[in-house]
Amino acid sequence: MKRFVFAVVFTLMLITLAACGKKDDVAETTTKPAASEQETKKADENWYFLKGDVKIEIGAPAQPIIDALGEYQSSYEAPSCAFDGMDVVYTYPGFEVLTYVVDGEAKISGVVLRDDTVETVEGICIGSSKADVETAYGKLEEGATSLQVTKGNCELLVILTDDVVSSIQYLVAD
Amino acid sequence: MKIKWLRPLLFAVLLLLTLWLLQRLTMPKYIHENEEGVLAAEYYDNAGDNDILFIGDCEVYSNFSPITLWKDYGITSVIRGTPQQMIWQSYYMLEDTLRYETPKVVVFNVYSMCYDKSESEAYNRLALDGLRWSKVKADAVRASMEGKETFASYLFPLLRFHSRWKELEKDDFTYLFRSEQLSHNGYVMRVDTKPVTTLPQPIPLADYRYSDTCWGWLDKIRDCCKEHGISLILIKSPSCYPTWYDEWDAQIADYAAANDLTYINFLAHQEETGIDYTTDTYDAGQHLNLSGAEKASAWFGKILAEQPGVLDRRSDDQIASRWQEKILFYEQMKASQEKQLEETGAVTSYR
Repeated sequence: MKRFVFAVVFTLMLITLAACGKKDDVAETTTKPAASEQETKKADENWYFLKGDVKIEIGAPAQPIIDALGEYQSSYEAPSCAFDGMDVVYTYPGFEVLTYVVDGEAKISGVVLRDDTVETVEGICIGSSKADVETAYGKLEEGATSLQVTKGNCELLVILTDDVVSSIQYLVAD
Repeated sequence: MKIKWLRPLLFAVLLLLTLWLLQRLTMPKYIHENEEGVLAAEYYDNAGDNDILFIGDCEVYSNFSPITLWKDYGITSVIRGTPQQMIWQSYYMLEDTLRYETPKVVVFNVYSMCYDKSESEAYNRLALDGLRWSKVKADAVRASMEGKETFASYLFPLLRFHSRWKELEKDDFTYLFRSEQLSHNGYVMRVDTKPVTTLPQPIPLADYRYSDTCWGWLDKIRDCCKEHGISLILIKSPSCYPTWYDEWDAQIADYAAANDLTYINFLAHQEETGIDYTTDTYDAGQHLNLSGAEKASAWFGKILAEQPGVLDRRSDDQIASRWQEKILFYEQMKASQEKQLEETGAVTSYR
């Protein structure tokens, strides 16, 4: 009996070592999406959007930002399939703020600029020219109709239609 | 002499049995949270005699009712949907189904064409852990694994879930050897309503083209159906959010035309289906509630009934008797959810 108990304990220890030996191994204790999958990368500096004096940064806790931005025009809640957590789109004049839940806390997952009443910190807005975009963020590839530039945990996506900016989006970098 | 090999053998059997029990104990049971985790395994209770197979993500298991297809048309159908099902997982659901039965029609919801890599390990688990072991499952696991996942952890889930011992709950012991049925041949019922009041504007994409990876898997689904004499129908299931872009729709329509397949975008048939997004959805337009799923199924049933080989099976006593039991469970769940809704104003439990 002693030998059997020893064998079980020994095998369990091996399993534990096999599963947790490496830091990167999947060893989450629940079936919820692992925090590391959704957690945004830490960085010294990110692209960010400024509305008045409210700094909106990818991965930042959402509630203080939503509170500081004041009343929104509308919101849309999209529950996660199967898992707990709610993605929310808050609509403000000229822009939208997207949030998602990580480890029980809502965080900023995106900002979408919708019209020329708002602009990026670098001075680009809907309707800006391709030349303005290239001055602010660098040259587009030959024939490209969009520019993706990553800084920290944020990807800034600028889409152009007929060489004029038609969409600006701050997104979580891959 | 006999004793010499008998003792080690008994020892090994006992050890394996203990490890198997520990594995059963630590694996999530999906009874009172993340309930959709039981869907993949529930198929095996419903396998056989199904003329229609639905494959895809939540937009199939929430939006179509096999019970309505049976009651209205005598069509036998099963849904093999799982949350955030990737297109390669849909392909392997089809392959796995062919181990048990050959449906006349496969209905594939094309929303997953926009994902060319797994979203998370957790969704992979919901789709794959419930599959019975076979070469098909092994291939499905290999196709689905993210960077940090290991094949061994699917083969021996104890490797993945051993640390759950710290959070074992009553359900882990109660459902050690059994589960509780959630679905109705794969359909997950919700009777409550949360109307669409507003929808976010679609967010423009830098590139609307589907990836070669996804086209490749769609080709495999097409070829597999062709090889087995199955009609393939592509659908975009009825839901208002997330956005279904016109550019995506056009690519699927072109593919269907080029391959002589039927493609139905339910969003373009709202009037005919009668789906009303102020009454027929439980989460503001993402998924249909029971009344929406029954409307979608009643309309789609007319098209399915006309497909080659799809028969009205209501005159087959054996099949009819099995479906009568399914109807009873369906009505019981509907009554239970309606009662919850009346008493508490919300549906807090499926059953």
